[in-house]
Amino acid sequence: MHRITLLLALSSLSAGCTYDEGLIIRNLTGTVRVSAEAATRTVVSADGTEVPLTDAKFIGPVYLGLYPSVIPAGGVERYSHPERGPQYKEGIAGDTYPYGGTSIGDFRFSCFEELKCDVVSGRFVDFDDIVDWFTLVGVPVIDEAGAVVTNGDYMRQTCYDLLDVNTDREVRLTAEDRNTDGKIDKQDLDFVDDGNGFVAEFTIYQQEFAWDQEQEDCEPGIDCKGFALWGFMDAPGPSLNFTTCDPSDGANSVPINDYDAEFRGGAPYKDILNSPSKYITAGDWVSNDGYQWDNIYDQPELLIDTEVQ
Amino acid sequence: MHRFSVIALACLTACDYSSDFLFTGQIEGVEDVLTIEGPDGQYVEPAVIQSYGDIAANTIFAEVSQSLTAELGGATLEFIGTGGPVCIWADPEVAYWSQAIEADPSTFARQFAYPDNGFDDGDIDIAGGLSVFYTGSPGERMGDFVVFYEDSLGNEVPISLVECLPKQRESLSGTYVTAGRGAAENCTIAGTEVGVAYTVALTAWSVPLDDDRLSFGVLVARGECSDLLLLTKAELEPNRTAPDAQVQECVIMGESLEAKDAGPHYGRPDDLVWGGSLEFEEAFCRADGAERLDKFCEAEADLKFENGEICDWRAVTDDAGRCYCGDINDTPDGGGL
Repeated sequence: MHRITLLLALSSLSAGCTYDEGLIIRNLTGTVRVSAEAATRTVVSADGTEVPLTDAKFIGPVYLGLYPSVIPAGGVERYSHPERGPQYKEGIAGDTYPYGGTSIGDFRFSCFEELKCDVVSGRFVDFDDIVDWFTLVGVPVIDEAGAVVTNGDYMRQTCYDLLDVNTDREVRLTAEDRNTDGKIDKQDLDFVDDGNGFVAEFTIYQQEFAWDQEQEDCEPGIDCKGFALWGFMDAPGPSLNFTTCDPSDGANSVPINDYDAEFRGGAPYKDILNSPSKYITAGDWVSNDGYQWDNIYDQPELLIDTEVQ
Repeated sequence: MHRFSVIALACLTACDYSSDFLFTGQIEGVEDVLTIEGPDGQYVEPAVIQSYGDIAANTIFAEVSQSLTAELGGATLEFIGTGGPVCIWADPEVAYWSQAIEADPSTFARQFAYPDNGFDDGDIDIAGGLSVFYTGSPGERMGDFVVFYEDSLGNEVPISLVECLPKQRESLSGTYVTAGRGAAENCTIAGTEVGVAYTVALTAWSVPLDDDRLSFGVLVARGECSDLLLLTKAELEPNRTAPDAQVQECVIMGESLEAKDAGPHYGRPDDLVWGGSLEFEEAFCRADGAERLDKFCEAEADLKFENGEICDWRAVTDDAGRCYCGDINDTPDGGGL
């Protein structure tokens, strides 16, 4: 009798160890494809002629969010847009209440105030690449003394000085050997040209899955209707700046305070996924269809395929 | 079998456990969840403040008791939007500081070298927003402004629709926190809608231990709260080194009330204000001509000694036992921390 009681007590205790919270949490992965057209601009060449230039550096930060649904163009905005919650203040659109999200590319401290909000991570191979690029598109890098920067090493040293670091990895502006082929080149950037546009991988870490609570006879995370992945690309403005960048924020929340440089580096606004329409302007690119993510094991490819007019 | 019955009965008796001893019980004449109405029994009218004297004249003073339940108590009031900014300013009794215990404190820290009386301070936090979103029941239980929205997948999303939530920058970590014990709080609802009712929830996070009654002052005023601070600075001319967090204590003064009439009182009830509390607050906010805080405390202790009086920190009943500063003997010495 005593043995049975003991066994019952132990089994009830061990049952507690298998309590299932019913949460489905997983790293979600996939790719984003941006059309070559979205990465093309007309630039003035050295001989004064205008020529089209296609480069991954024209791809601004891409913001990805997980939403209950995506409303087609003409619904809540002139472009496709995530569904919104209730509007409770006149003149202020309702929040989209995303379940989660990420970005491909981020604003980092760009070491010169003139470059604030102009440099996105994952777009440049090295510091020479940054300096050469801004020279090529007609907005050369200017240092704090007002002189044109022509040397990547000078920019690197400026970054090291202001940030008190001594490796490129800590500056976080330039590429690393992502594909481990022994060299750092364009294949190591976030977006890689595969001949049919530019493709980048993404991971949304530790995402809790959300599904249709009304749907019956389905397995959540496998075949129930899930949340929708949607995103947009903030295209660079005429001076290669970005509307999603808050110039009063950034630089790891600590203002750089050197004798000849006192500024913040810029950082993404904090409500971009909640209120994307606040930041999307003509010339940006959005995902027209989004992707309804039913199976958490899927690795979708999201198309950023529609230019906002 | 008998053994199981005994265990089962023991479990049942455990369910009859009462934690009443943890609560102070009802204090006659003092509500734990108070509804503050205007003098006419209607909405509180946002006051027009043009001078420092207008602040005391238009502030509502009241007391709430310790909560009678496991939920927090406090007070609520309602006002009608004016179409412009409306400032909510609340100041719980009385003022609190952490003692500066270094042997050779800095000029700034020196004023805090004497310990505070930690038994006479309470904490009120402000939250305000449209009345239609308030989840509490005025006079019954406190609430917040969190509503639930169901998205198209049927998942509930909590949405905080609070429009007035004062926060102060905590300098060391860079995070934002609400003001703590004894500290005044304020917030401005930038654009109130004309004719629409707003609720202000004054949640009592802690009640003074010396009498289980939290007295406070609350002002609803047209305009920005920063204007009230400017008026105060112009009137009291505090020491230029005094941070705003200290000066804010003197916007509403005299909120520490004797335990006689819980109010609400419309305008400062000078006959109920604890003797010496105005001088204490002026010392705390470093008003021009006021004693430095540590000097005030030393003088208070000296006076008590000369008069043969003893501070009743834990259960104050009269002026003789009322002390705003703590017991200097509580100062930790080397190794005491």
